[in-house]
Amino acid sequence: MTNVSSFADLSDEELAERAKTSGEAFGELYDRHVRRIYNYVYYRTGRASEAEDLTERVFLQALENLARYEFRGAPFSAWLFRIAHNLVANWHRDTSRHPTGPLEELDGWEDRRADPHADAVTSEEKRELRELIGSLPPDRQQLLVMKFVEERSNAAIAQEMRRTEGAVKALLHRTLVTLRERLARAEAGSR
Amino acid sequence: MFLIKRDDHYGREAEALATFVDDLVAGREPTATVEEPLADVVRLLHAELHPVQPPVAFVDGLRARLVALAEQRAPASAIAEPPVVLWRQPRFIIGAAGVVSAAAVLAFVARSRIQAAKAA
Repeated sequence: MTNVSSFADLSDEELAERAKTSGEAFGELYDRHVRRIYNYVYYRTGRASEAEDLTERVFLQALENLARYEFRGAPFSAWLFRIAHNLVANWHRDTSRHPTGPLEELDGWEDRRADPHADAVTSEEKRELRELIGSLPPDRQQLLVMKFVEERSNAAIAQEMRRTEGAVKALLHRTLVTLRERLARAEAGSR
Repeated sequence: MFLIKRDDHYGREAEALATFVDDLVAGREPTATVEEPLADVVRLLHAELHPVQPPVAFVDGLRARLVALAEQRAPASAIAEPPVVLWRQPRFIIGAAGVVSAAAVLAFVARSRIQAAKAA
């Protein structure tokens, strides 16, 4: 019988090894990553119902393939996000849908309305922004989620994306410039 | 020279923007200066992208199912997957194919030389 509380001290990679023979070890891995995966999927699909469905499939697939998982330098979370990325890509391909304003669907937002700028964002701007984010390449969408939703450091993002910190900053710069240009174009078009 | 200067400028701009984003996300007053339209995009993203909490019932329900499934699979996979014998491992097969290819090339070269010697 494994001591469940000892799992908390293990790294993800050690846990993944244990999870090949222990359900509770897999449960601990799940606890560590389920919210991150859910947020990632939510912002890539824009729908709470799809976020639940795809999050479930990510972990089922992880469990299915865990025996083949080997630590080769990249963190366990990168492996998990690769599964999520592939499933979301398949979802977009199969449904040919694009994210549309699902904000009303969602419960449990951690509201940041203390930010005065947040009040100035109209629902039309929100919808537009969501669509523009959804039109970015997957790695850029992932970067925005890690930076703004998960509030991760550039070093942590670099490790997860297998890039240098400088490359992450450059990618962030390119992404924000692209968004600025597309927002300006959309604004000009709506006038 | 022009390219180096341009890269320097781009690097500085990317660095300043990263600092601006980090300050804003951490709730600090931004110390770096970035051009206003870009700063607006950062503020918009910061206002719009929040952590989303999945429903508790969903998280707990899925956890219970996954742990049960993992417990079922663990002993089964231990029995069902015996270690792969050496000669069936991909690296062995690739290595063997390499040796055979090299031998074939050597044989071809040797044969060509013998034929050339005979012809001469």
